[in-house]
Amino acid sequence: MKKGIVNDYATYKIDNGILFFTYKENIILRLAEAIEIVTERIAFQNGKAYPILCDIRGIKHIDKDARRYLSTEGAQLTKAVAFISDNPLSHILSNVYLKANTPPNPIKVVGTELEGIKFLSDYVD
Amino acid sequence: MENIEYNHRLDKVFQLLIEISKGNFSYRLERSDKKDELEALTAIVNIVAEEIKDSFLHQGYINMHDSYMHLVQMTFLLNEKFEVVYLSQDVPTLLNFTQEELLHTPFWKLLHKDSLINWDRIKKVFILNSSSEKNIKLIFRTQETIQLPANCKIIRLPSDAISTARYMVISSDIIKNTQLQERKLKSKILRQIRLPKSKTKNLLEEKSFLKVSDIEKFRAIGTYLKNNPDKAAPSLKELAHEFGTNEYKLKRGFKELYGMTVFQFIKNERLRNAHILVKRSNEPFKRIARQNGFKNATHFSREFKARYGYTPRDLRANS
Repeated sequence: MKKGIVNDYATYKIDNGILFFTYKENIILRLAEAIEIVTERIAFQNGKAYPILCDIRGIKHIDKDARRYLSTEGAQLTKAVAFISDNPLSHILSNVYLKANTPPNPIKVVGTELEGIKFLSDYVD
Repeated sequence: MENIEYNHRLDKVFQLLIEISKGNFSYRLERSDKKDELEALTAIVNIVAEEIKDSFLHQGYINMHDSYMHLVQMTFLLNEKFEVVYLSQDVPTLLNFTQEELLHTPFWKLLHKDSLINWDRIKKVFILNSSSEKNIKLIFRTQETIQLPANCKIIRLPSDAISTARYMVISSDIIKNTQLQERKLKSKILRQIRLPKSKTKNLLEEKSFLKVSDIEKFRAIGTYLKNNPDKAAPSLKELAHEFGTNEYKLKRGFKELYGMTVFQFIKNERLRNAHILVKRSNEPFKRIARQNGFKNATHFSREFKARYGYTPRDLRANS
């Protein structure tokens, strides 16, 4: 297992071929934050695509520029993505992302980490 | 108690929706740290207002850029203690406070708490004399406690200009200038009426020829191209037939919708994908080039340089 990293917005670790990406509590994402997060993630992956388990429950707000960035550049090097969402706020934010963009790779909104791992296991090398 | 707070939050959502229905997309709701249904509703209403506002700025679709103009929303003059000594007539309407409530108050009292740190910082810059003009985004409070975010410019006035005013704050917004548009149309129609019949073609040309169903097709084509950067670019004819339209419509409509040709769009997407991989991974350029539909590393490098002004090698060396 690769050592995880922590920055101001999220924690990352790779475990059994899945990248666990967890946002911290009450995060507000604007373009600058979105760019920083994506570049850190890509650097962490070192050019290799992974299935990603993305816990978005901590996100409080994403502005328009950040939404656009995350759905284009932000979807790079992802084989499949599972969003963990278990409350009305994260449901609506993940829905906005899914409906407004047609991401190239499979994406699923799941309620628990376990459900996410199950979905992503098909995409592990 | 719980109920009163809930109703209060719901009231704010209604207020914002009323503003939207009146055509004001500049206001936003304050967000809390809750994650319940009401908070989700608050978030989506803000997102909708933001999207509608920005959709007026879509330049690719329908040629009417010149019907937008910069509008000064609010003007404030502040004295040396940063208290309001003058405000323009729009301010009481936009913030929904009376002129009396606003005059002679410290400027910070008009701001939402999230903007206070920024305002203090900018004040210091001005007090220390290190700047005479600054741009800053400030969030204003309104009487109904919904927020009005605005891009502002603060200007230090020359000290001998006006007796008490030392600083000026202006906020601006871009609006659709219907009046200007109507005037233009009117003069055009009048011109057309006076002209011989054969010239009336011009009037029709400026109108968009796209139907909603066409726009959906072009969006689908855009998405397809975006998601398949590695595939060789298809011919326009193939692409058009694949999505149930024709080459002529595709050529014209795609440009109208995205502001560029199909091939410019493909190149743009490929280079954008490649840029991030060059910058943040150690993948060989040859592979990045192939993954993004370039013939070889040389071709990739040439296109990259033409677009960004530096080569992939330069970028990686400096990342």
